[in-house]
Amino acid sequence: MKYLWAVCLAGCTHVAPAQRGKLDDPAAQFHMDPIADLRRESILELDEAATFRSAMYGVSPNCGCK
Amino acid sequence: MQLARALLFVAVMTIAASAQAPGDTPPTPPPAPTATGSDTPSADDYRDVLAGEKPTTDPAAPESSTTAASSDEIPVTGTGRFGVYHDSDATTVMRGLATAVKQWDHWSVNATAVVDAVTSASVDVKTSPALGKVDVVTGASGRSSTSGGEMSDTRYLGTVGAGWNDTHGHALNLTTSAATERDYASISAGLNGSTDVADRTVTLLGGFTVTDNWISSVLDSTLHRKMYAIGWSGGVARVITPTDAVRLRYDGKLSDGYQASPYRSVRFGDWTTTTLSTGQITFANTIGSADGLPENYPETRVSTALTAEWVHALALGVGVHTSVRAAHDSWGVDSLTPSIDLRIAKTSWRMQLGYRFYAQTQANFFEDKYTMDPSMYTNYSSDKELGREVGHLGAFDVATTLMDPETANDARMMLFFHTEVFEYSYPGYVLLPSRTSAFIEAGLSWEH
Repeated sequence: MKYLWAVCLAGCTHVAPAQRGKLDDPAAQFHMDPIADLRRESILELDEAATFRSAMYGVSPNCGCK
Repeated sequence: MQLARALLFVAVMTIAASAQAPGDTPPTPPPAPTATGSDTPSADDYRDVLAGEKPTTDPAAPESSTTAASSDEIPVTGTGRFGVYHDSDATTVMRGLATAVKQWDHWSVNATAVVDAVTSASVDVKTSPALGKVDVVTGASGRSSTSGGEMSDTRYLGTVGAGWNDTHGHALNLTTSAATERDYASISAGLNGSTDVADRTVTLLGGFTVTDNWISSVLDSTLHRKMYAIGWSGGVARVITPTDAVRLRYDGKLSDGYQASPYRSVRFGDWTTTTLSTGQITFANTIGSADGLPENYPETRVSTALTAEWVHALALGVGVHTSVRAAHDSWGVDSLTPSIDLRIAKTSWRMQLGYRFYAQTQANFFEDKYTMDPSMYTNYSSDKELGREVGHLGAFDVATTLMDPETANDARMMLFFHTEVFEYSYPGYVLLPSRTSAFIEAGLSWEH
């Protein structure tokens, strides 16, 4: 876990809040359409053995589809 | 009948949600930024750019002279969507979804309902000793099958949740869900949250879920099995330049209990197959019964994954998102998933174009053919998704504004269209070397 900190903090410059305007754009979000992404992931969970929903996005109910 | 049922469900939910001007359902809506034009940052300038949420206002839109909506006047937002999935393995799924979100000050509540209507005559069905036979009365379809193996079922899923966001970089969400179908039931609960540190340049994220599952069979009333699962996740995100943000996430999952299929069987020996005129696939030259043995999986599976993401704003309203995910589990399945998508978000329309590659190794107990006597194997499976697999996914999304909000208390109505094409190959899997799938979805959303 400490390596995660090192990767994210090492060599990074401080970006003032007023400079983050472009990152507030829908096109610059990690998920521009969270619902579509989660629905795609629900299909991929059935098609791929190694794909499972991250607990960061809430519940992941199973189904008998497999 | 299933199509009518799914469409009626989506229509009812969409009408009910639209009566209160619903919109989309981001997990944790960020605070609406104010254009202060000042060098001194205010609380609203600390935008939650790292929480993975869509901002509630379009930064390309001109400043409005109207006052912002008060918490009591924030409209209900939501979405209604309907989609169809079909693949070359004779499986069709009609999916309906409706969500609604209500927000007050620091709190929000949300509800989602999903209906999936499935019809399948896949290789798994046609090789199933029970499902593959003619004139089998299936509890899932409620009718006799005379075409050598076709199953149908409808799954209902409901989710409710509550969220808290202090608009100063701290958020918490609680969700619960329940799903049911003829031979499967599942309940789940989850807690996830995020907090900003280091002058809100770094966001720490985490989550935890628990799921309980009941598995039965439409053909064997004596089969009642259970499976428990817990999931955990931790991550960190950071703005590294005015146009770049990165996120690193670790996910884990423990599954314990019955994880096989009550319908699939495994044949042993150097078998050959014949497809009957009815569609059923029969086996010959097997060791033991031609019907094989029910699948036998390890009871416990621990899965882990590490995902690295990068978003880059090419210009205002244009961005690129890349990610790579590496996963490993205790069944020996390793995978690598790189992806990239291009986004364009303008005042009245949005578009996203993406590509994703997937490759996985086979489970350590999986064989394309179990050529020895069954007593030589501890675990065995006929699930192609546990074998070697390579996949390509292309996705395209487009959304356009149908109705702009007239006041600060109104929601924007958007029409969107979404399509995906999947291509999978299963090297070494004799019964199905490859499969092509497509998913098309359209819907309306109300956003604020």
